[in-house]
Amino acid sequence: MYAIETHELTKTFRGTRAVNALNMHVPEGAIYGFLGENGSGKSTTEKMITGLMNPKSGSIKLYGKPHTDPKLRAEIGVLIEAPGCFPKMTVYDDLMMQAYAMNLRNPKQEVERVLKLVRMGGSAGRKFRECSLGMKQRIGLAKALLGRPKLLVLDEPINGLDADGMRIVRETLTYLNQEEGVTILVSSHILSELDKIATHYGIIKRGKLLREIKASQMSEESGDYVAIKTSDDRRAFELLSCNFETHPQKDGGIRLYGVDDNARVTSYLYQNGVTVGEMVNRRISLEEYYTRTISAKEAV
Amino acid sequence: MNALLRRDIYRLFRTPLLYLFMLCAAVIPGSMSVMTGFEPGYDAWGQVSGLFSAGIFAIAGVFLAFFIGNDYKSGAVKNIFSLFPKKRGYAAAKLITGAVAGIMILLGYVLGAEVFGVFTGADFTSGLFDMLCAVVAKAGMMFLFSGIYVCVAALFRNKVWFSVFGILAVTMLFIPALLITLGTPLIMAGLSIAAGVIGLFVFPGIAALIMKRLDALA
Repeated sequence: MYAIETHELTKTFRGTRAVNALNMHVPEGAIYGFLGENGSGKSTTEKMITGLMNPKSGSIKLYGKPHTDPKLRAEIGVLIEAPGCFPKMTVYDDLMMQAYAMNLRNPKQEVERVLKLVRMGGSAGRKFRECSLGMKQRIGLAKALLGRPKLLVLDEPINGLDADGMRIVRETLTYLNQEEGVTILVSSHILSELDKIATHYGIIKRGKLLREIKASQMSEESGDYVAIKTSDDRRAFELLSCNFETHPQKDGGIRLYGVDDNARVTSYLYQNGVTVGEMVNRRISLEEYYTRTISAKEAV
Repeated sequence: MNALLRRDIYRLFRTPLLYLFMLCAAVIPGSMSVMTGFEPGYDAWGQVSGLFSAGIFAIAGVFLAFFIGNDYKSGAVKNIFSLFPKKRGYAAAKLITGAVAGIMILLGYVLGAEVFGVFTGADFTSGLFDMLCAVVAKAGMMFLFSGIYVCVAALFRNKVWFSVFGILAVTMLFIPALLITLGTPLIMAGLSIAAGVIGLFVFPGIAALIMKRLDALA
Protein backbone atom coordinates (compact mmCIF):
# COMPACT_ATOMS: atom_id res chain seq x y z
CA MET A 1 0.00 0.00 0.00
CA TYR A 2 1.08 3.56 -0.60
CA ALA A 3 1.20 5.93 2.32
CA ILE A 4 0.73 8.82 -0.11
CA GLU A 5 -0.66 8.52 -3.62
CA THR A 6 -1.55 11.45 -5.84
CA HIS A 7 -3.30 11.29 -9.18
CA GLU A 8 -3.07 14.15 -11.69
CA LEU A 9 -2.62 16.60 -8.83
CA THR A 10 -2.66 20.18 -10.08
CA LYS A 11 -2.43 23.60 -8.49
CA THR A 12 -2.37 26.94 -10.27
CA PHE A 13 -1.57 30.43 -9.04
CA ARG A 14 -2.83 33.23 -11.27
CA GLY A 15 -2.77 31.02 -14.34
CA THR A 16 0.65 29.50 -13.65
CA ARG A 17 0.75 25.78 -12.94
CA ALA A 18 2.82 25.39 -9.80
CA VAL A 19 2.03 21.67 -9.70
CA ASN A 20 1.15 20.00 -12.97
CA ALA A 21 -0.65 16.64 -13.09
CA LEU A 22 1.58 15.14 -10.43
CA ASN A 23 1.43 11.37 -9.92
CA MET A 24 3.38 10.59 -6.77
CA HIS A 25 3.68 7.27 -4.93
CA VAL A 26 5.22 7.12 -1.47
CA PRO A 27 5.40 3.50 -0.28
CA GLU A 28 4.50 2.69 3.29
CA GLY A 29 7.60 2.50 5.47
CA ALA A 30 9.77 4.53 3.09
CA ILE A 31 11.87 7.60 3.62
CA TYR A 32 11.00 9.45 0.43
CA GLY A 33 13.38 12.21 -0.55
CA PHE A 34 11.52 14.85 -2.54
CA LEU A 35 14.03 16.77 -4.67
CA GLY A 36 13.68 19.82 -6.85
CA GLU A 37 14.95 23.33 -7.48
CA ASN A 38 13.56 26.37 -5.72
CA GLY A 39 10.08 27.03 -7.04
CA SER A 40 9.69 23.58 -8.56
CA GLY A 41 6.51 22.83 -6.59
CA LYS A 42 7.76 20.76 -3.65
CA SER A 43 6.29 22.93 -0.90
CA THR A 44 3.03 23.42 -2.80
CA THR A 45 2.69 19.66 -3.20
CA GLU A 46 3.34 19.08 0.49
CA LYS A 47 0.86 21.78 1.47
CA MET A 48 -1.83 20.12 -0.62
CA ILE A 49 -1.06 16.70 0.84
CA THR A 50 -1.39 18.10 4.37
CA GLY A 51 -4.59 19.99 3.61
CA LEU A 52 -3.16 23.48 3.87
CA MET A 53 -4.00 24.22 0.25
CA ASN A 54 -6.83 23.09 -1.96
CA PRO A 55 -5.80 21.46 -5.24
CA LYS A 56 -7.26 22.80 -8.45
CA SER A 57 -7.79 19.24 -9.67
CA GLY A 58 -6.62 15.71 -9.06
CA SER A 59 -6.78 13.52 -6.00
CA ILE A 60 -4.70 12.69 -2.95
CA LYS A 61 -4.97 9.45 -1.02
CA LEU A 62 -3.31 8.60 2.25
CA TYR A 63 -3.23 4.89 3.06
CA GLY A 64 -5.87 4.38 0.43
CA LYS A 65 -8.31 6.88 1.92
CA PRO A 66 -9.11 10.48 0.87
CA HIS A 67 -6.62 12.86 2.45
CA THR A 68 -9.42 14.90 4.04
CA ASP A 69 -10.45 12.09 6.40
CA PRO A 70 -10.21 13.74 9.88
CA LYS A 71 -9.34 10.46 11.65
CA LEU A 72 -6.43 9.99 9.31
CA ARG A 73 -5.16 13.51 9.81
CA ALA A 74 -4.44 12.78 13.46
CA GLU A 75 -1.84 10.23 12.36
CA ILE A 76 0.16 12.67 10.28
CA GLY A 77 2.91 14.92 11.57
CA VAL A 78 3.64 18.07 9.61
CA LEU A 79 6.54 20.51 9.44
CA ILE A 80 6.06 22.91 6.53
CA GLU A 81 8.43 25.87 6.28
CA ALA A 82 8.71 27.50 9.72
CA PRO A 83 7.62 25.64 12.87
CA GLY A 84 4.65 27.96 13.44
CA CYS A 85 5.25 28.93 17.05
CA PHE A 86 4.33 32.09 18.94
CA PRO A 87 7.49 34.13 19.56
CA LYS A 88 6.66 35.12 23.15
CA MET A 89 5.48 31.73 24.31
CA THR A 90 7.78 29.18 25.87
CA VAL A 91 8.65 26.04 23.94
CA TYR A 92 6.76 23.96 26.49
CA ASP A 93 3.59 26.07 26.29
CA ASP A 94 3.64 26.02 22.50
CA LEU A 95 3.89 22.25 22.39
CA MET A 96 1.20 21.92 25.06
CA MET A 97 -1.14 24.03 22.91
CA GLN A 98 -0.60 21.70 19.99
CA ALA A 99 -1.11 18.68 22.23
CA TYR A 100 -4.44 20.12 23.39
CA ALA A 101 -5.48 20.87 19.80
CA MET A 102 -4.77 17.24 18.91
CA ASN A 103 -6.83 16.08 21.91
CA LEU A 104 -4.00 13.89 23.19
CA ARG A 105 -4.69 11.85 26.30
CA ASN A 106 -1.56 12.70 28.27
CA PRO A 107 -0.39 15.99 26.83
CA LYS A 108 2.33 16.65 29.41
CA GLN A 109 3.91 13.24 29.00
CA GLU A 110 3.71 13.48 25.24
CA VAL A 111 5.37 16.91 25.20
CA GLU A 112 8.17 15.63 27.41
CA ARG A 113 8.61 12.59 25.15
CA VAL A 114 9.02 14.57 21.94
CA LEU A 115 11.32 17.13 23.55
CA LYS A 116 13.55 14.27 24.66
CA LEU A 117 13.45 12.74 21.19
CA VAL A 118 14.81 15.89 19.55
CA ARG A 119 17.14 16.52 22.52
CA MET A 120 15.52 19.78 23.55
CA GLY A 121 14.42 18.74 27.06
CA GLY A 122 16.63 21.33 28.74
CA SER A 123 15.22 24.21 26.69
CA ALA A 124 11.53 23.72 27.43
CA GLY A 125 11.28 26.90 29.47
CA ARG A 126 12.91 29.09 26.87
CA LYS A 127 10.85 31.52 24.83
CA PHE A 128 10.65 30.62 21.17
CA ARG A 129 12.11 33.92 19.99
CA GLU A 130 15.20 33.31 22.14
CA CYS A 131 15.97 30.03 20.35
CA SER A 132 18.51 29.70 17.57
CA LEU A 133 17.41 28.78 14.05
CA GLY A 134 18.54 25.22 14.54
CA MET A 135 16.63 24.92 17.83
CA LYS A 136 13.51 26.32 16.15
CA GLN A 137 13.68 23.66 13.47
CA ARG A 138 14.01 20.94 16.12
CA ILE A 139 11.02 22.39 17.97
CA GLY A 140 9.07 22.20 14.73
CA LEU A 141 10.08 18.58 14.36
CA ALA A 142 9.04 17.91 17.97
CA LYS A 143 5.64 19.39 17.20
CA ALA A 144 5.30 17.14 14.18
CA LEU A 145 6.11 14.12 16.35
CA LEU A 146 3.32 14.73 18.86
CA GLY A 147 0.79 11.93 18.94
CA ARG A 148 3.15 9.30 17.46
CA PRO A 149 2.23 9.88 13.81
CA LYS A 150 2.68 7.08 11.28
CA LEU A 151 3.39 9.54 8.48
CA LEU A 152 5.66 12.58 8.62
CA VAL A 153 5.62 15.31 5.97
CA LEU A 154 8.68 17.52 6.36
CA ASP A 155 9.60 20.50 4.21
CA GLU A 156 13.28 21.45 4.53
CA PRO A 157 13.62 20.19 8.13
CA ILE A 158 17.41 20.58 8.26
CA ASN A 159 17.60 24.13 6.92
CA GLY A 160 19.77 26.25 9.15
CA LEU A 161 21.04 23.36 11.23
CA ASP A 162 24.69 22.95 12.07
CA ALA A 163 26.42 19.59 11.59
CA ASP A 164 25.41 18.42 15.05
CA GLY A 165 21.81 19.47 14.52
CA MET A 166 21.68 17.66 11.19
CA ARG A 167 23.05 14.55 12.81
CA ILE A 168 20.37 14.67 15.53
CA VAL A 169 17.59 15.05 12.96
CA ARG A 170 19.04 12.34 10.76
CA GLU A 171 19.32 9.92 13.69
CA THR A 172 15.81 10.77 14.86
CA LEU A 173 14.30 10.17 11.43
CA THR A 174 16.24 6.95 10.96
CA TYR A 175 15.13 5.71 14.39
CA LEU A 176 11.48 6.57 13.70
CA ASN A 177 11.58 4.84 10.32
CA GLN A 178 13.43 1.71 11.32
CA GLU A 179 12.18 1.17 14.88
CA GLU A 180 8.65 2.55 14.67
CA GLY A 181 7.90 2.06 10.97
CA VAL A 182 7.09 5.73 10.35
CA THR A 183 6.82 6.73 6.69
CA ILE A 184 8.60 9.99 5.96
CA LEU A 185 8.21 12.40 3.05
CA VAL A 186 11.07 14.87 3.27
CA SER A 187 12.24 17.61 0.95
CA SER A 188 15.66 19.17 1.28
CA HIS A 189 18.30 21.01 -0.71
CA ILE A 190 21.05 19.32 1.27
CA LEU A 191 21.34 16.25 -0.94
CA SER A 192 24.27 14.79 0.96
CA GLU A 193 22.07 14.38 4.04
CA LEU A 194 19.18 12.86 2.10
CA ASP A 195 21.63 10.50 0.44
CA LYS A 196 22.37 9.02 3.86
CA ILE A 197 18.82 8.14 4.81
CA ALA A 198 16.38 8.09 1.89
CA THR A 199 15.08 4.82 0.50
CA HIS A 200 13.15 6.39 -2.37
CA TYR A 201 13.40 9.58 -4.36
CA GLY A 202 11.05 11.75 -6.36
CA ILE A 203 12.48 14.47 -8.56
CA ILE A 204 10.25 17.37 -9.53
CA LYS A 205 10.88 20.14 -12.04
CA ARG A 206 8.51 23.00 -12.87
CA GLY A 207 5.64 21.23 -11.18
CA LYS A 208 6.07 17.92 -13.01
CA LEU A 209 7.46 14.75 -11.47
CA LEU A 210 10.39 13.71 -13.66
CA ARG A 211 11.36 10.50 -11.93
CA GLU A 212 10.49 8.26 -9.02
CA ILE A 213 13.09 5.71 -8.08
CA LYS A 214 14.29 3.53 -5.25
CA ALA A 215 17.69 4.38 -3.84
CA SER A 216 18.92 0.87 -4.68
CA GLN A 217 17.71 1.19 -8.27
CA MET A 218 19.47 4.51 -8.62
CA SER A 219 22.85 2.83 -8.22
CA GLU A 220 21.94 0.10 -10.72
CA GLU A 221 20.55 2.57 -13.23
CA SER A 222 23.43 4.97 -13.07
CA GLY A 223 26.08 2.42 -12.33
CA ASP A 224 28.71 2.25 -9.70
CA TYR A 225 32.10 3.09 -11.20
CA VAL A 226 35.81 2.68 -10.65
CA ALA A 227 38.03 5.75 -10.40
CA ILE A 228 41.63 5.09 -11.40
CA LYS A 229 44.79 7.16 -11.63
CA THR A 230 47.69 5.79 -13.67
CA SER A 231 51.18 6.63 -14.78
CA ASP A 232 49.86 7.46 -18.24
CA ASP A 233 46.17 8.36 -18.21
CA ARG A 234 46.04 9.10 -21.93
CA ARG A 235 47.41 5.69 -22.86
CA ALA A 236 45.15 4.03 -20.24
CA PHE A 237 42.12 5.77 -21.76
CA GLU A 238 42.97 4.49 -25.23
CA LEU A 239 43.42 0.94 -23.94
CA LEU A 240 40.33 0.78 -21.77
CA SER A 241 37.80 2.63 -23.92
CA CYS A 242 37.56 -0.41 -26.24
CA ASN A 243 36.09 -2.56 -23.46
CA PHE A 244 34.49 -0.21 -20.92
CA GLU A 245 32.51 3.00 -20.75
CA THR A 246 35.35 5.38 -20.00
CA HIS A 247 35.34 9.05 -19.00
CA PRO A 248 38.45 11.15 -18.37
CA GLN A 249 38.24 13.37 -15.29
CA LYS A 250 39.15 17.05 -15.21
CA ASP A 251 41.35 16.64 -12.16
CA GLY A 252 43.21 13.70 -13.71
CA GLY A 253 42.39 10.03 -13.72
CA ILE A 254 39.70 8.05 -15.48
CA ARG A 255 36.21 6.86 -14.52
CA LEU A 256 35.26 3.36 -15.66
CA TYR A 257 31.76 1.85 -15.75
CA GLY A 258 30.85 -1.81 -16.07
CA VAL A 259 33.92 -3.17 -14.32
CA ASP A 260 33.35 -6.45 -12.51
CA ASP A 261 36.97 -7.45 -11.90
CA ASN A 262 39.41 -4.72 -10.82
CA ALA A 263 42.38 -7.10 -10.85
CA ARG A 264 41.91 -7.86 -14.56
CA VAL A 265 41.94 -4.15 -15.38
CA THR A 266 45.13 -3.60 -13.40
CA SER A 267 46.80 -6.61 -15.00
CA TYR A 268 45.78 -5.57 -18.51
CA LEU A 269 47.17 -2.06 -18.07
CA TYR A 270 50.43 -3.38 -16.56
CA GLN A 271 50.93 -5.73 -19.50
CA ASN A 272 50.63 -2.68 -21.80
CA GLY A 273 53.11 -0.59 -19.86
CA VAL A 274 50.73 1.43 -17.71
CA THR A 275 51.00 1.31 -13.92
CA VAL A 276 47.90 1.89 -11.81
CA GLY A 277 48.60 4.30 -8.95
CA GLU A 278 45.13 4.46 -7.43
CA MET A 279 41.96 2.42 -7.94
CA VAL A 280 38.79 3.12 -5.94
CA ASN A 281 35.24 1.77 -6.33
CA ARG A 282 32.73 4.64 -6.10
CA ARG A 283 28.97 4.95 -6.02
CA ILE A 284 27.28 7.67 -8.01
CA SER A 285 26.20 10.42 -5.65
CA LEU A 286 22.65 11.63 -5.32
CA GLU A 287 23.78 15.04 -6.50
CA GLU A 288 25.16 13.61 -9.72
CA TYR A 289 22.02 11.58 -10.37
CA TYR A 290 19.80 14.54 -9.58
CA THR A 291 21.76 16.88 -11.86
CA ARG A 292 21.58 14.38 -14.72
CA THR A 293 17.85 13.85 -14.27
CA ILE A 294 17.02 17.55 -14.02
CA SER A 295 18.82 18.26 -17.28
CA ALA A 296 16.71 15.62 -19.06
CA LYS A 297 13.14 16.29 -20.15
CA GLU A 298 11.29 13.09 -19.29
CA ALA A 299 8.18 13.04 -17.14
CA VAL A 300 6.46 10.29 -15.19
CA MET B 1 -14.24 22.17 18.73
CA ASN B 2 -13.53 21.22 22.33
CA ALA B 3 -9.88 20.49 21.59
CA LEU B 4 -9.43 23.79 19.77
CA LEU B 5 -11.25 25.67 22.52
CA ARG B 6 -8.98 24.11 25.10
CA ARG B 7 -5.98 25.17 23.06
CA ASP B 8 -7.21 28.74 22.71
CA ILE B 9 -8.14 29.13 26.37
CA TYR B 10 -4.70 27.78 27.34
CA ARG B 11 -3.11 30.33 25.05
CA LEU B 12 -5.41 33.14 26.23
CA PHE B 13 -4.20 32.96 29.80
CA ARG B 14 -0.56 32.20 29.01
CA THR B 15 0.27 35.21 26.87
CA PRO B 16 0.50 38.79 28.17
CA LEU B 17 -1.84 40.22 25.51
CA LEU B 18 -5.03 39.68 27.53
CA TYR B 19 -3.60 41.24 30.68
CA LEU B 20 -2.36 44.22 28.70
CA PHE B 21 -5.82 44.84 27.28
CA MET B 22 -7.43 44.38 30.70
CA LEU B 23 -5.06 47.02 32.06
CA CYS B 24 -5.97 49.38 29.22
CA ALA B 25 -9.65 48.87 29.95
CA ALA B 26 -9.11 49.41 33.68
CA VAL B 27 -7.64 52.87 33.21
CA ILE B 28 -10.41 54.12 30.90
CA PRO B 29 -12.99 55.14 33.53
CA GLY B 30 -10.50 57.09 35.63
CA SER B 31 -8.63 58.65 32.72
CA MET B 32 -11.83 59.69 30.96
CA SER B 33 -13.08 61.30 34.14
CA VAL B 34 -9.79 63.16 34.55
CA MET B 35 -9.76 64.28 30.90
CA THR B 36 -13.33 65.55 31.01
CA GLY B 37 -12.60 67.48 34.19
CA PHE B 38 -13.20 65.48 37.29
CA GLU B 39 -16.41 66.62 38.87
CA PRO B 40 -17.95 65.67 42.19
CA GLY B 41 -20.64 63.14 41.67
CA TYR B 42 -18.53 60.62 39.72
CA ASP B 43 -20.73 57.56 39.85
CA ALA B 44 -18.48 54.52 40.11
CA TRP B 45 -21.14 51.89 39.42
CA GLY B 46 -22.73 54.05 36.78
CA GLN B 47 -19.53 53.86 34.71
CA VAL B 48 -20.45 50.30 33.74
CA SER B 49 -23.47 51.51 31.82
CA GLY B 50 -21.97 54.86 30.88
CA LEU B 51 -21.09 56.03 27.37
CA PHE B 52 -17.42 55.11 27.59
CA SER B 53 -18.26 51.52 28.48
CA ALA B 54 -19.32 50.96 24.86
CA GLY B 55 -15.64 51.28 24.00
CA ILE B 56 -15.08 47.92 25.69
CA PHE B 57 -16.44 46.19 22.60
CA ALA B 58 -13.94 47.98 20.39
CA ILE B 59 -11.10 47.02 22.75
CA ALA B 60 -12.25 43.39 22.77
CA GLY B 61 -12.47 43.49 18.99
CA VAL B 62 -8.95 44.79 18.62
CA PHE B 63 -7.77 42.09 20.99
CA LEU B 64 -9.47 39.43 18.86
CA ALA B 65 -7.91 40.87 15.71
CA PHE B 66 -4.47 40.36 17.22
CA PHE B 67 -5.38 36.99 18.73
CA ILE B 68 -6.58 35.52 15.43
CA GLY B 69 -4.12 37.44 13.25
CA ASN B 70 -1.17 36.13 15.25
CA ASP B 71 -2.39 32.59 14.61
CA TYR B 72 -1.86 33.22 10.90
CA LYS B 73 1.16 35.50 11.20
CA SER B 74 3.16 33.09 13.36
CA GLY B 75 2.25 30.17 11.12
CA ALA B 76 0.60 28.35 14.02
CA VAL B 77 -2.53 28.02 11.91
CA LYS B 78 -0.69 25.42 9.78
CA ASN B 79 -0.47 23.13 12.79
CA ILE B 80 -4.22 23.51 13.32
CA PHE B 81 -5.50 23.15 9.78
CA SER B 82 -3.23 20.21 9.04
CA LEU B 83 -5.41 18.34 11.55
CA PHE B 84 -8.37 19.11 9.30
CA PRO B 85 -10.69 20.41 11.97
CA LYS B 86 -14.11 21.63 10.93
CA LYS B 87 -13.72 25.30 10.05
CA ARG B 88 -16.94 25.95 11.93
CA GLY B 89 -15.38 24.43 15.04
CA TYR B 90 -12.28 26.61 14.66
CA ALA B 91 -14.45 29.71 14.31
CA ALA B 92 -16.65 28.71 17.25
CA ALA B 93 -13.59 28.19 19.46
CA LYS B 94 -12.29 31.63 18.51
CA LEU B 95 -15.73 33.17 19.12
CA ILE B 96 -15.99 31.72 22.62
CA THR B 97 -12.40 32.61 23.45
CA GLY B 98 -12.98 36.13 22.15
CA ALA B 99 -16.11 36.45 24.26
CA VAL B 100 -14.27 35.19 27.35
CA ALA B 101 -11.50 37.69 26.66
CA GLY B 102 -14.10 40.42 26.18
CA ILE B 103 -15.73 39.57 29.50
CA MET B 104 -12.30 39.61 31.19
CA ILE B 105 -11.64 43.03 29.65
CA LEU B 106 -15.07 44.18 30.82
CA LEU B 107 -14.27 42.99 34.34
CA GLY B 108 -11.00 44.91 34.11
CA TYR B 109 -12.99 47.99 33.19
CA VAL B 110 -15.41 47.46 36.10
CA LEU B 111 -12.56 46.93 38.52
CA GLY B 112 -10.83 50.04 37.25
CA ALA B 113 -14.01 52.08 37.66
CA GLU B 114 -14.57 50.85 41.20
CA VAL B 115 -10.98 51.26 42.31
CA PHE B 116 -10.89 54.79 40.92
CA GLY B 117 -14.15 55.47 42.70
CA VAL B 118 -12.85 54.22 46.02
CA PHE B 119 -9.62 56.20 45.83
CA THR B 120 -11.34 59.42 44.83
CA GLY B 121 -14.17 59.08 47.32
CA ALA B 122 -16.71 58.91 44.52
CA ASP B 123 -20.38 58.22 44.84
CA PHE B 124 -21.77 54.72 44.43
CA THR B 125 -25.24 56.02 43.68
CA SER B 126 -26.45 53.74 40.89
CA GLY B 127 -28.12 50.61 42.11
CA LEU B 128 -25.92 47.57 42.38
CA PHE B 129 -28.61 45.55 40.63
CA ASP B 130 -28.61 47.92 37.64
CA MET B 131 -24.86 47.70 37.46
CA LEU B 132 -24.96 43.92 37.48
CA CYS B 133 -27.63 43.94 34.74
CA ALA B 134 -25.37 46.13 32.65
CA VAL B 135 -22.46 43.73 33.16
CA VAL B 136 -24.61 40.73 32.21
CA ALA B 137 -25.99 42.56 29.15
CA LYS B 138 -22.54 43.45 27.95
CA ALA B 139 -21.32 39.92 28.58
CA GLY B 140 -24.17 38.55 26.45
CA MET B 141 -23.47 41.06 23.69
CA MET B 142 -19.81 40.03 23.76
CA PHE B 143 -20.78 36.70 22.20
CA LEU B 144 -22.65 38.46 19.41
CA PHE B 145 -19.89 40.90 18.69
CA SER B 146 -17.17 38.28 19.05
CA GLY B 147 -18.90 36.37 16.24
CA ILE B 148 -18.87 39.43 13.99
CA TYR B 149 -15.23 40.12 14.80
CA VAL B 150 -14.23 36.51 14.05
CA CYS B 151 -15.77 36.86 10.57
CA VAL B 152 -13.82 40.05 9.93
CA ALA B 153 -10.57 38.54 11.23
CA ALA B 154 -11.09 35.38 9.14
CA LEU B 155 -11.38 37.55 6.06
CA PHE B 156 -8.10 39.38 6.62
CA ARG B 157 -6.16 36.48 8.22
CA ASN B 158 -2.56 37.56 8.84
CA LYS B 159 -3.17 41.21 7.88
CA VAL B 160 -3.72 42.17 11.50
CA TRP B 161 -4.07 45.91 11.00
CA PHE B 162 -6.69 45.42 8.27
CA SER B 163 -8.59 43.32 10.78
CA VAL B 164 -8.23 46.01 13.42
CA PHE B 165 -9.61 48.74 11.16
CA GLY B 166 -12.33 46.47 9.86
CA ILE B 167 -13.41 45.59 13.37
CA LEU B 168 -13.41 49.22 14.49
CA ALA B 169 -15.50 50.14 11.45
CA VAL B 170 -17.98 47.39 12.19
CA THR B 171 -18.17 48.45 15.83
CA MET B 172 -19.00 52.00 14.77
CA LEU B 173 -21.90 50.67 12.70
CA PHE B 174 -23.31 48.94 15.75
CA ILE B 175 -23.01 51.88 18.15
CA PRO B 176 -26.80 52.31 18.40
CA ALA B 177 -27.09 48.69 19.59
CA LEU B 178 -24.33 49.29 22.13
CA LEU B 179 -26.03 52.38 23.45
CA ILE B 180 -29.16 50.37 24.10
CA THR B 181 -27.33 48.60 26.87
CA LEU B 182 -26.83 51.87 28.73
CA GLY B 183 -28.90 52.10 31.92
CA THR B 184 -29.97 48.55 31.31
CA PRO B 185 -32.96 47.07 33.04
CA LEU B 186 -33.28 43.33 33.53
CA ILE B 187 -35.17 42.74 30.29
CA MET B 188 -32.39 44.28 28.23
CA ALA B 189 -29.91 41.98 29.94
CA GLY B 190 -32.05 39.02 28.90
CA LEU B 191 -32.31 40.23 25.29
CA SER B 192 -28.58 40.77 25.12
CA ILE B 193 -27.92 37.23 26.30
CA ALA B 194 -30.35 35.94 23.68
CA ALA B 195 -28.52 37.95 21.01
CA GLY B 196 -25.24 36.45 22.20
CA VAL B 197 -26.61 32.92 21.96
CA ILE B 198 -27.86 33.55 18.42
CA GLY B 199 -24.46 34.94 17.49
CA LEU B 200 -22.80 31.83 18.92
CA PHE B 201 -24.70 29.65 16.46
CA VAL B 202 -24.81 31.92 13.41
CA PHE B 203 -21.38 33.47 13.09
CA PRO B 204 -19.18 30.36 13.20
CA GLY B 205 -21.01 29.20 10.08
CA ILE B 206 -20.40 32.49 8.31
CA ALA B 207 -16.73 32.50 9.32
CA ALA B 208 -16.41 28.88 8.15
CA LEU B 209 -17.76 29.85 4.71
CA ILE B 210 -15.15 32.61 4.48
CA MET B 211 -12.32 30.27 5.52
CA LYS B 212 -13.37 27.52 3.11
CA ARG B 213 -12.94 29.86 0.18
CA LEU B 214 -9.46 30.91 1.24
CA ASP B 215 -6.37 28.70 1.57
CA ALA B 216 -4.96 28.57 5.07
CA LEU B 217 -1.63 29.56 3.56
CA ALA B 218 -0.92 31.56 0.45
